[in-house]
Amino acid sequence: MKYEEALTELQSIVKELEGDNASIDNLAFKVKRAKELVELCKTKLRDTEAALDLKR
Amino acid sequence: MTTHTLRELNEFIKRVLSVNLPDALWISGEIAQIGRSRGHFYIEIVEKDDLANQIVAQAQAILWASNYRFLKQKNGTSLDSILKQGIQVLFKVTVDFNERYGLKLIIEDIDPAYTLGQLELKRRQTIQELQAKSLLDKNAALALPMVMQRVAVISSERAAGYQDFVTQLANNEYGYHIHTQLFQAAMQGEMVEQEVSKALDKIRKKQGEFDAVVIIRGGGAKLDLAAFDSLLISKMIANFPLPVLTGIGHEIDETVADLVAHTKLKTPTAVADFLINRLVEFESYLLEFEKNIIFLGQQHLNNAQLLLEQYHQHIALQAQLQLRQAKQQLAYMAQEIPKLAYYQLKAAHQLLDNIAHNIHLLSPEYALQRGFTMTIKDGKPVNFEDLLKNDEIETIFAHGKIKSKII
Repeated sequence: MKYEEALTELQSIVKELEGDNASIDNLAFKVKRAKELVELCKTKLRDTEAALDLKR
Repeated sequence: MTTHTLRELNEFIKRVLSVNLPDALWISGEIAQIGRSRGHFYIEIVEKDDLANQIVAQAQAILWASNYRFLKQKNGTSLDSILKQGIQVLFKVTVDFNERYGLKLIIEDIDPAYTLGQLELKRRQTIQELQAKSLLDKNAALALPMVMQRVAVISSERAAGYQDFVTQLANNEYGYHIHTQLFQAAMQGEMVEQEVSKALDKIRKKQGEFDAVVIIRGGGAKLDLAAFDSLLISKMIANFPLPVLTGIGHEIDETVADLVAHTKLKTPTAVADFLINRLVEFESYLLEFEKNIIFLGQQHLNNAQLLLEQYHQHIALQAQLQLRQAKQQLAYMAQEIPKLAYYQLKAAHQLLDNIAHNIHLLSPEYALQRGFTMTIKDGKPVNFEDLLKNDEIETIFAHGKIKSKII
């Protein structure tokens, strides 16, 4: 999954949770999914950071 | 009628002449013809009408060999330059009349300054005419090629000046090759004008093969240079399609040919040096070019490297920035999403509570507690219209119930 895709999904989750029509059934799933996505993105950022540091 | 013999007449003329012309006198004229026999010069002197150029007076003159030797000692080589056909002269003569050989002028002295003066006068006229026709600077207006390697040379093979020129070119320390082609022409004497103009004509026909024309000779007496004051040659040089360089005279001599030439140099050697120096200039010009190109190339390279370095740094910086932003964004998400989820949950709870409360408010128990009662019959709620006499009903209160019978 690309970072941008993950980010887009996270943003859509935030948007949904900010709205009035959040699905409570999915709430736990969404939070769990968000956690996964954040983890994924963090990993990518760490890798990128390491790559940048290597280049210096 | 008295008759006389011819001899009597001639003796009479001789007497008259010797009485009236006792001393030598200076006469000016032009040498129309000159011959030499056993060391003596036999000269035909004429005077011409300035305008019509026709002979208006003529006489025979003799320069005895003995006097020639004396005058030669006095005047040096310029004497021979004067004793030529077409030269304006000032002779000191005695008039000799011989009964048998007629009138002769015996040349006793000669004034070279006069001849020079006459030549100078003519020279000035020539210059004026050239100036009037705007020819003085015409050849000089031609662009001198940067590199003159194909040179047409007008000179005499035997002239010392030509040898100097060729040697100087060949011995140049830079090893340049300058190709010369000699166009033979007399450089002194009566043939100069004719032969030099012929040589110029020849070169003109193959002008594409040459970068420049060089006319050289090795100095000499001033009178010898007079041919290069010729209007014909000067005009040809002025109108020549190639630059003409001259190395005709020495330091002090400047002929009209020098004046109209593109570049006048003092000696044949100087002409050779000039050609070589042009090549040196050209080569250093090339070297300068090369240096500039290398310098500019390096500059471009440096600029490109600098730019690249700037890009690199900028990109690294931007990447860091982007990374930081992404991290912040992510941190925000990580923090916000559970919070939002919690709010959602809380909101759902609240909604549920509200619904439960509402349900409670609507419940019968709540109504009973507030003092209402409920009437049921056979265990079911009953409406007033359905009740009949003797029916048994139950009235339910919040804290108990009573049975009663309708009467």
